[in-house]
Amino acid sequence: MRGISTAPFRLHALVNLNHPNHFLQWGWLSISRSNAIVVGLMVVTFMAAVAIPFPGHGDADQEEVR
Amino acid sequence: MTSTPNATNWTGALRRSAERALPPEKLLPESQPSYVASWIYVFGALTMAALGIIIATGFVLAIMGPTWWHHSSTGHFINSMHLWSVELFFAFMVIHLWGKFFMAAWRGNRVLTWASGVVTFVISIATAFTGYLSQTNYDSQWIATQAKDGINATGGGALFNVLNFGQMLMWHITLLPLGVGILVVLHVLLVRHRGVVPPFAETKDGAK
Repeated sequence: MRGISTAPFRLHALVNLNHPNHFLQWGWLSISRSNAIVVGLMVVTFMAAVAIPFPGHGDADQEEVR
Repeated sequence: MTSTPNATNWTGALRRSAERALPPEKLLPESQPSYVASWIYVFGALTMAALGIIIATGFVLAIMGPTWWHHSSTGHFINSMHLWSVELFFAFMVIHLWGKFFMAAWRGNRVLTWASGVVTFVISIATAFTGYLSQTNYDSQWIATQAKDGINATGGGALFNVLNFGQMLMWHITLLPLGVGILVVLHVLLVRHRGVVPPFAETKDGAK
């Protein structure tokens, strides 16, 4: 079965992934660098979600239409 | 036949109980308290949006089959969407969990809401792991042989055999997604029933 060709849009990976994983080690804790980056991005997203005001936030009304 | 409000059959009792727990304006509200206007309250809905993509792409993968997802461009694309929506599903769900943990979302008689979320998280992990076993490639074979020792160490190898591809595929596409789906619906109904948990500052002012 023929699908839609993605050939014109193919790019090389932005980061070379063709090597064994790098691991970070702190005592008993061992985590791959890629997993550590993902966890770090999630923590940053969490902190941003708490810190950045939501559009429309601060209205005096107790009930706010979503 | 006319029904009376005091009829004792189980369907009438169930309907009245459901109407008391979730009247239509509570089930499908048009507004939320002002404290819900925060980005941290968005991650539950984002998790469900990702789950919707997972289910939709999963349906397509089930219809078309492994040869298609391994050997056609569209198959690769849908397969990748299935994977990346799972990645986002877990990222959003964990951020949702962090937010609810730090605001102690089990307050105000919401312990069942919290517990249903925790159980959904655990079953989702099992669903994802059986997904790795269902790829039909060398990666899934490697993961199955590695997981075999772990499962055998628990004594569950005879019942839950990770080397049994048919069994793992069935768990992945029927039993576990059904469990996740039912629990997500229950979780959302509980949120509607008890309301969205307020921040600590609001409870001091009397909100519950």
